[in-house]
Amino acid sequence: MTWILPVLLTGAVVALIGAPLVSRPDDLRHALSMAPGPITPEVLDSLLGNQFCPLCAAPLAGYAGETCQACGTRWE
Amino acid sequence: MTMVWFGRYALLLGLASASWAVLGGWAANRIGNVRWQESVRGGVLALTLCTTTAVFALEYLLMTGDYAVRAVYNHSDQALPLPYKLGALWGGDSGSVLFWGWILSLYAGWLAWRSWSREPRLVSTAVPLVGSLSIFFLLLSNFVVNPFWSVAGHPSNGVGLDPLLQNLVMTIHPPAMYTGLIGLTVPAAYTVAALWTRTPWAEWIGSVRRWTLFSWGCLSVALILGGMWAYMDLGWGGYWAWDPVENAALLPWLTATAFLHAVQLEQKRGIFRGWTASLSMGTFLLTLVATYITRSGVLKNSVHSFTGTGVGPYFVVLFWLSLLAFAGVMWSRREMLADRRPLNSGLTKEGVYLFINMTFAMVAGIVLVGTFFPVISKALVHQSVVLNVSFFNISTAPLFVLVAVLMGAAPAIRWHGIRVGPTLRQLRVPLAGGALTSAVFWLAGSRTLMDGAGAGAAGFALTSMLLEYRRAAGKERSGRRARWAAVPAAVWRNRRKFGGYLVHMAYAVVMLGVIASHTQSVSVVKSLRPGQSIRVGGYRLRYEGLDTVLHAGYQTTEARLAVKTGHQRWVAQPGMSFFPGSHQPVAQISIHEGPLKDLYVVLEGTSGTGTILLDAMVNPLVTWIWAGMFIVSAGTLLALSHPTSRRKRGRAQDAAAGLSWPPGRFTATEGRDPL
Repeated sequence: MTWILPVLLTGAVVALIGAPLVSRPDDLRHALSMAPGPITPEVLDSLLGNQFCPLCAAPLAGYAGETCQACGTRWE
Repeated sequence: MTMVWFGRYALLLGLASASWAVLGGWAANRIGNVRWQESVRGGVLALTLCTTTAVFALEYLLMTGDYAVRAVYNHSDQALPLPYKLGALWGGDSGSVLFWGWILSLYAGWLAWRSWSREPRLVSTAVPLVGSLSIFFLLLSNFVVNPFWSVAGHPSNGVGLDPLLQNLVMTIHPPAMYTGLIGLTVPAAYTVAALWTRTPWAEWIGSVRRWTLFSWGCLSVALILGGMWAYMDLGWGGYWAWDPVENAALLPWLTATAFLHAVQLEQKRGIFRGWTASLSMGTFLLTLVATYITRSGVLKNSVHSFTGTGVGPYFVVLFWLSLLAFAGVMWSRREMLADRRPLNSGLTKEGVYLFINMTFAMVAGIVLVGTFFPVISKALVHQSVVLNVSFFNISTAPLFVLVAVLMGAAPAIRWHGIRVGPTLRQLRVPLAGGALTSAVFWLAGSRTLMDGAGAGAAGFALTSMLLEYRRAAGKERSGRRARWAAVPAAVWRNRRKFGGYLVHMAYAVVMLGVIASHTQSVSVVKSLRPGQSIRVGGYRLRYEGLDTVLHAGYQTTEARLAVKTGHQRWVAQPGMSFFPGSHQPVAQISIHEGPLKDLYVVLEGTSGTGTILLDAMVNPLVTWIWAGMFIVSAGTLLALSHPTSRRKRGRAQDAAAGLSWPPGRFTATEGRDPL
């Protein structure tokens, strides 16, 4: 038996656990449904850990009056 | 790295993943970080992957015959056929604990994979609870009963699997039992999570019902399969002996049954919430009790022997920790357990459901006390007193009869209150059906009051259920179409209700089988020389001689019996098998099954002169009990196939507006429509 099986298993476990920590959260439905109350920009910030366009998850500078450079949606 | 080390490594990695799922899940829920929550979700899937890998590693070792591994050495050998080698995984404590942890991780994986996105708040709280239990089993698997531990030396062959377990039914029974018992963890975790997160009852009780129904269905099938194994393999002509291990599996089934009815009360009327939550958690606790009874050897009066590695005390600790945690959650969320409205009258459908609940709970209480009576009496009077079968039969039979009566009456009783005239009119035909069944059983030989009442109640319930199908078909029928042709459409329209009725019919069918086989069975035990005959229940058996048959790994001595009944003739060959390394021969029973009665022949012994000791029995309606298993499976699947109201609501919302986007604060004003 080679070392390939344990290496593959370790890689899969690390990927499953680690990938969500380093990738950009794009599951908006999930993020919103986790919110304890009404979705405000502040709540969304705390959920996502950053400011992202709720539609396409591209970074936004701020929400009020902001237009997403990636998808063109204007948020108020 | 060998497969043994790979299996050990997978178990350790699984423990690490489960630990992350619990600790990370707790932290992620505290700080509300979605990245962490997604990572926890990945951790649960990693746990499933690791335990699955460990199980496959052990199966590989069993199939390739690596007898240096303890679990392989103790429960397999070279001559064992492949299906039994695969089944040897759960033949001993170490493999069973791994198997338990694996099934649990599959449930956790399913929650993370499928349910998380539908009910994220609830599931992200429930998953760490299931993960905590996974940690328990992985700690046992890693450090107490590791199936990958080695034996001394390099044996070329193993001890082999217990001959009594070398049976196809016994290959299916344990996985069904584990799937059912372990599945009951999920409703308990949901209940705790829902109370903890203060989720309104209507949002989660439907999910809990479906999880419970699935597990309950598996457990029902497993219980009947266990009876089938006892009937076909043990050679005493029965299928249920109130053995502690049998009772252990029955206990959670009883409370899960009560819980499924309590859920109806919650969904329809919002009553008995404290009771419903207690049943959900209590059922889980009883699965721990069941495992403790089976694995600890605390009850010496069981014919089952699954013990020897000392895992029992760990289950005691887990039981008390879980009980304390459940009590704490219920106390801290007691405002959620207040009923939406009071119960106005017992003469309502909710009253009937309550009685059914109470009856199942009473049976569970009797069985629990009766099973532990040797321990209780030892503690109280320093003498271990074992209650025999009569205690259980006498104390539980009236309650099972009462359940059948309530089951038959329930369709005629309304939710808000009974209307005596219409109710009695609706019950006329079921009452006639009950009376007819009772009369038939009386003529067939079931002549005690309890037998008559039991047969009558089962007939009453069966007729009542059949009438419900007829009534629904009548409503569904259009034009000149025959009524029976409308049944499938009517049933499909309300699968949940008619699935439940099918399960009720299974209960009645099993009950009739149990009553008939207990009260009308006849038996003849006789010593025969070649050429001699015996008669039993309309069958004539002529003993013609003894044969010896060699099989792979064992040898069987078979008696050749020419059987005649009416115009039917066949040869029955009951035998005794001798396995190497086993002190006692294993009975090979000859069963000629029929829809109304079985001819059940056991070769009890042989002498050097060719004389045999034969036990021939005629057991009526035993096949009805096995038929009940198929009916209960069909009913459960039918009920499960019904979409939940939450899913229907969700679809309607999606169709109307896509996501249930919170209005007001956060809207797109230009560009693409975000939703």
